[in-house]
Amino acid sequence: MTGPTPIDAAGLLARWRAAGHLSAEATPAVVAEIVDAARDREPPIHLKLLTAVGTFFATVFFLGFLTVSKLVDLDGGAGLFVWGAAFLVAGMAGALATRRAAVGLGRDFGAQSAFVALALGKVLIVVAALEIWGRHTPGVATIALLGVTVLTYPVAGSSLDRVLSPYAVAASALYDLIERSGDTGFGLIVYHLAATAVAGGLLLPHRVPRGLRPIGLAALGAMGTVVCILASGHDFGIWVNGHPLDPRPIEAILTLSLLGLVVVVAGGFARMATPPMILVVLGVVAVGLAGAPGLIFAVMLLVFGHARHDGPLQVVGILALPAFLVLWYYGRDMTFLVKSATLVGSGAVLLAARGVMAMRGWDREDDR
Amino acid sequence: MNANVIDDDPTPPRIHMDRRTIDRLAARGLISAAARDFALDLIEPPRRWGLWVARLATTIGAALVLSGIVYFFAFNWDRIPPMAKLGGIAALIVAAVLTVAVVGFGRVVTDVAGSAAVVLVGVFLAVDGQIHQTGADAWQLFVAWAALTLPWAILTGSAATWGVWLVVANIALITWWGQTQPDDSRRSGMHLCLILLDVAFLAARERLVASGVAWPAARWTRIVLALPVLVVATLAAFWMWDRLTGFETRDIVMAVAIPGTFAGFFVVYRRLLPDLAVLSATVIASCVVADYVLFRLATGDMRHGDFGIFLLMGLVTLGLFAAAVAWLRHAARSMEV
Repeated sequence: MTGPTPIDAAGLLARWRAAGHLSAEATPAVVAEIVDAARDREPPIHLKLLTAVGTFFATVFFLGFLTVSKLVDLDGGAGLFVWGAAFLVAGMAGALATRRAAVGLGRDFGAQSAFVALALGKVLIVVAALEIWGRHTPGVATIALLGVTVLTYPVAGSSLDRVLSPYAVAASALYDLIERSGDTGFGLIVYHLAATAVAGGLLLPHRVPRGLRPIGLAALGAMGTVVCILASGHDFGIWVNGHPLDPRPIEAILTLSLLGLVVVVAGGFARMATPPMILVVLGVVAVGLAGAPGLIFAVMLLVFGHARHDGPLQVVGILALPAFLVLWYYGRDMTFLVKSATLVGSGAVLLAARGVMAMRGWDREDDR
Repeated sequence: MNANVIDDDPTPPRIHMDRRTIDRLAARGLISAAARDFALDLIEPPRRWGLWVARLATTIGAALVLSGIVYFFAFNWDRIPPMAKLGGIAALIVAAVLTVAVVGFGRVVTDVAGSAAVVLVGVFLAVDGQIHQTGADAWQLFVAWAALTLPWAILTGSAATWGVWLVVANIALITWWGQTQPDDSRRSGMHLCLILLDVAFLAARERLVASGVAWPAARWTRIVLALPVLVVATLAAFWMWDRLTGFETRDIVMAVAIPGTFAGFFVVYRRLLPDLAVLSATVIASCVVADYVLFRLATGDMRHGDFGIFLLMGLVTLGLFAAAVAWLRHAARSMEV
């Protein structure tokens, strides 16, 4: 796979001007925005991962310190709340202070400390809420997570924090929905629809501010969680609740979502009336009918990742397929024979589509 | 960044343009949709949708059919006569081999068919084990599987086929050690063998690529070989330092091999064959191991430590990972130049 072609700002501005896309009057504002964007450039994925691992370990150690030293009483809601609020304030202040600091070890230490303080504050406030309003009261953890997420999202320095916090809200809401209320029917459909709408609404249009994109990724994670639950079956893991799951509505939503993504990637409905696109639509519908939700979700990630040249998303898409197959293997909602027929049927559809592409020469086109 | 650059000259300094910046300009209404598309066409490579979809359909389609076959035989349908089961799998193996022979080497179809043949040999052995229950250990199946398919992997010269074979070989090693070496309480011997096996393949890969062989040259082959080495070295450190007494010779060898592995990766993938992904994974694994070992040394035989140790470890962790981030950023910059 080839990577992006390097081009600097001056070169691009010259090309824009030559092509008539940029006037002389508009140029200063564009230049100012480019310089501003370069200042708060997002760190690459490897630095985010390293920071996340460090934050996890540091948070565990500091939580250990707070509990072993008895500075925090895990059974005392008010005390926990005060400590949590203090950490949140410290984390937010740290995130704001390090945002404009010069790149270097000092800023990295400050950013890491702010991330850890935010994580500690969120954990303590959620535990405090559970202590104050009762561990078995539905929705407490979700509301507490939502509160701290809304409060910290605008100032959170780490984009990973901006993905994980909304995802924690979504996962907690899903837990409330399935485990506490036992609603594996209409509620789950509404949940999945909402996650799909948020993901599509925030990730597909290019005019959405970049700051909201992590919420879209969190929604994508929520969709993936629903798919994992469907694949695992109703009697597996922490989601076990004895209520049978009907995967068909979710599979239908996933299939329609993938079709919608194909339309967006193709450039609109007007471009769908061509033989290759009709084949793609037929293939998606056939795979959707086969009833393998993990497969549709994995393909969705791969198509979106390829369309956006988003390497990490494509890696997640590649890993999603074997993960789904393993979960599905151990799920007990279907016999091996039914699963086998589904997999062979889906695979045969894809291989047949591949054959048609080869016959028509569509696999040799060099489009964009 | 100098603000005067903006005031005096509307041309910004050398700033690398990426999709994020262009989307930001479009989102704020500073450029038109046409200008955005024009810029993305310049900076992003062609997507070649036709080729990409064809490869995706081949790879996923074959993976699904193969998984379906595995699921089917896991069902152990007793209405099918044993010989029909074995004969059916054998026919599929022959079909996969013939596909490689007819299509030729070095194509996506060859990779898929070559890998399928390796998997199907395992299915054949497992089904044979279902039919003729001999009480053999699981490791014997995996060792036979790896041994029988090794010549095929050598013959195909396909990275995907080698990948599947290596998974089988690793599982064979793990099951063999687990079932025949009960005295190795820290699993040091097993971890050492796994690291040696995967490092040997990684070294062979680098050697082949350096000598101009094309089939193992894709970047994913390096990552797929390097990550298991780092994961095993990290797990080995957790096993090693879980208890601070009763070290045997193989444990001491492993205790040396863990930092040796990390150091080797640092040298090779920072200096000799710069690779940011592998270097980043090495930094993460090294920091995790260093953090855990420090914690275990600080707590000694106490499992949980006192509050002072937790506070100290929290601060040390912050410093360690912040320093690692700073170093990795610096290394990434110098590797880009």
